[in-house]
Amino acid sequence: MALDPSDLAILRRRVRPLVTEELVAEHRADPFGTGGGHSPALVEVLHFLRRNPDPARPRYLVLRGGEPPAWRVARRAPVPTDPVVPVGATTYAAREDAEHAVFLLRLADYELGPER
Amino acid sequence: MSAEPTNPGWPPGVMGYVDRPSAAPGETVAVHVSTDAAATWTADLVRLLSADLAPEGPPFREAAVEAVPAVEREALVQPTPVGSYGHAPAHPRLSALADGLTITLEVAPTLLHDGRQTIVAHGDPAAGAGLALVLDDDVLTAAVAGATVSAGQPVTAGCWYRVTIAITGEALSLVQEPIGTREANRFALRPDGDTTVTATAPAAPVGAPAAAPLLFGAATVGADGVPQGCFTGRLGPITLTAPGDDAPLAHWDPAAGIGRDGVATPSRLDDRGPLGLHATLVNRPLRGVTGSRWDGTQHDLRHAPEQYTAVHFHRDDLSDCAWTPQWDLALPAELESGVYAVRVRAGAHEDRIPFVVRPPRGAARADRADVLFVLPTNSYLAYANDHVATDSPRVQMLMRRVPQLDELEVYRHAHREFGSSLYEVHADGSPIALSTWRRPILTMRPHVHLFNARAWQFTGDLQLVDWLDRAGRRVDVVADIDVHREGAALLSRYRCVMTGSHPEYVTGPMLDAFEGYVAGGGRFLYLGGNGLYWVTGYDPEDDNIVEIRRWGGTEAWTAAPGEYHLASTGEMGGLWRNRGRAPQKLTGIGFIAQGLDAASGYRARADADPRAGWVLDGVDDELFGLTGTLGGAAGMEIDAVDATLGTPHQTVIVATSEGHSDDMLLAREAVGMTSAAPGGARNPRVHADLVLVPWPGGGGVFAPGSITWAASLADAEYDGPISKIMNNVLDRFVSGAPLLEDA
Repeated sequence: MALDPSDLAILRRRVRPLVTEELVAEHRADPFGTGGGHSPALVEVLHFLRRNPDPARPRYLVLRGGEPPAWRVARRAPVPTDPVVPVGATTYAAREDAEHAVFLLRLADYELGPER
Repeated sequence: MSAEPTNPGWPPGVMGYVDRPSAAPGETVAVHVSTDAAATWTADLVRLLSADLAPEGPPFREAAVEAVPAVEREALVQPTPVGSYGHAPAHPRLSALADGLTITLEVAPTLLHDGRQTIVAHGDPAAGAGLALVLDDDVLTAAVAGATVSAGQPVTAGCWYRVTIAITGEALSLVQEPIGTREANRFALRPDGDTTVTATAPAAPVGAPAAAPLLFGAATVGADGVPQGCFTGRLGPITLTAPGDDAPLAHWDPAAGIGRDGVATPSRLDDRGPLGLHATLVNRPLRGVTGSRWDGTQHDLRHAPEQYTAVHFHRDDLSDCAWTPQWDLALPAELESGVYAVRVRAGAHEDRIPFVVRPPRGAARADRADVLFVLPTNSYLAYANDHVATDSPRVQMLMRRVPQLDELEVYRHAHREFGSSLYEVHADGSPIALSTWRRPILTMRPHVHLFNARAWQFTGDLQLVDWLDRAGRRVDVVADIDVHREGAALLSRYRCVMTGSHPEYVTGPMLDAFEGYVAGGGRFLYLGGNGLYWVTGYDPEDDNIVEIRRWGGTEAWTAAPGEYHLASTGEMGGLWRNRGRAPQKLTGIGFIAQGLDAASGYRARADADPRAGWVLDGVDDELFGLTGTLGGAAGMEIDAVDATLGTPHQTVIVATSEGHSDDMLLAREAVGMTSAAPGGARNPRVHADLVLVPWPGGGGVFAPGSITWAASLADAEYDGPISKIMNNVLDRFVSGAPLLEDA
């Protein structure tokens, strides 16, 4: 990973201990925090992942298309102006499911997760 | 860039633009279209009545204008000439290089390792005639036919050099000398080795024909107008001299164009030499930027032009797509004022190009509408074609979700030849300070891009249009430029004037117009959040181009030191608040917080002046506005009162929002010192104030202080609390009855 020392310290000290099975389940149940908001632990983990601290990690996007609409996960190409790159072949019927899929990909990117 | 048909959602599409944001009935609008989707395209005129917001909001509605017959035109794939450069008539000496010529110029490259960038060229020495100064990767090289000399020493980005190219009948030499003040250069010390270097080679130069233009910042310009080899960086004064002469043959000086109103002709780089070989600057390289001699004591280009002797070129500048117009759309003389679009079709693809049909120019008409809606077209330009959601991780923090792209977004993300927004930077990291109407503005469509764009900019304002239409209220519509040009005289023809949901970018004359209107008895509905915020200027040669300089606010970039003044007008840019014109002084409220993820509702104030009770007639719930296209009437960017910034004494706070999330954060300028400023769920300053401001003379202001106000109008079958309040306010404002009900 290409994290700078400050981000590496944040990852080890704060973020890694927060990623439990319960946290992942919380995100799966309500990826957007609309039902009363996310727990402080999930908020902190999402802040870390969303600001893309490691520039070598993919920058994810969600593509919407078709009729009825369906969603799939993609990422930016290394050269930003090149076409986006699909990630996997799964199509999601709900926007929330695509959001959770990205969450799981990001956890894997940073080697986070209850089993690690 | 590649064009992969297998890339999900890659439409060949059809795209277009019109030549101005606003036109009157009887006038003509030029339509420019590019497509490869079919052999021909067809187009007609539609009136836009609602954006496509289903299921969260109203469905799409438009009405074809039968009085304008549809047209069909040959489909053209129109090239877009991206990159700024200059071209000047060639001095005769350039065609007689063997007689000897010296070129001296100041240059500060800002983007290294970007291939071969041409700084000056006449003809093409590689093809046998002419000269060129090139930045190859990170090394300056001079060339004439048959000879090349390289400085050898890499330049340091952001630092100034004096470069001297001396050409004789026998030799070519290049001198690269570090210059510039500590203040003007990015670094106080150059890396070891970055000192004066000289290189010489034998040469038998051949001049290019006199008909060839002298180019600044590009190697060639094709027949299609597309420049090649564009340079990114600053050029200072450029001088041609003959050996042994004192007086220059030509001397292009960026400071020459600076006067009491800034740079009056930004497209011209004046030659102070005897032949007046003025250069034409294409695609608006940025003027009003510091040169090598800026010493940090001067900040206003008008007062010290000699410190602003530079032009900043960018290989990604765009001020005009310059597509061939193919339809002169003649607007019928009886066409009703409103928001319209040119609807273009090619194959299975469509594009809708919005513009405003304003009321007829000139004196008041007997049958004018009671209400004037000022569509915030400057703000559409500011956000035009923005890529912030895909390019900036910061946005995900604000939006609290992964950016979502649909077909149009995928296309726009990849097709950056249509330029970017004022929320982005150029390839060299310098600010994008100019935005032009002369390009497809793919973010200004009756179509939602990104989830929060259900209530963002044009889609937010089309919800106002939809509500007004369904309420049966006839409204005249103008664009920002109309208010700028015609002032309070235009507004005073109307019983009330309303803004859009996010009128963020306004000029001084626009503020004069709104203030004069209210002082003269006019009734003003400021229906946005974060409005009347940024100092904006129109390009003096083309008011389809706006300029800003960001500093002191909540901003996506910050102007460089010494560059807070607009080149377009000379005035200081930044926030109107920092020009002594905080929006609180007129509307009672001003920007306090933003959070792009969700919205909340308002609670009626128990302590409000009961004479303003009519505002909430029919609103039974103390807490209201909790639903809408984006989930609530108070959201995205919100405004609050502030007596220190000039909220008038007579302001009545009718309701205040509550229940915001922690991701609704204070504006940067609301926080002076570093502090643990909590998020909106726990910060009492984070709220919107819904106010009524009666003004002496019978005028006044109604302002709910929220962008998402417009997105709650359709609630409850257009009969929810927000709709009721709007009806109460418009009815009273139009009726002429006093803003405060007698007890």
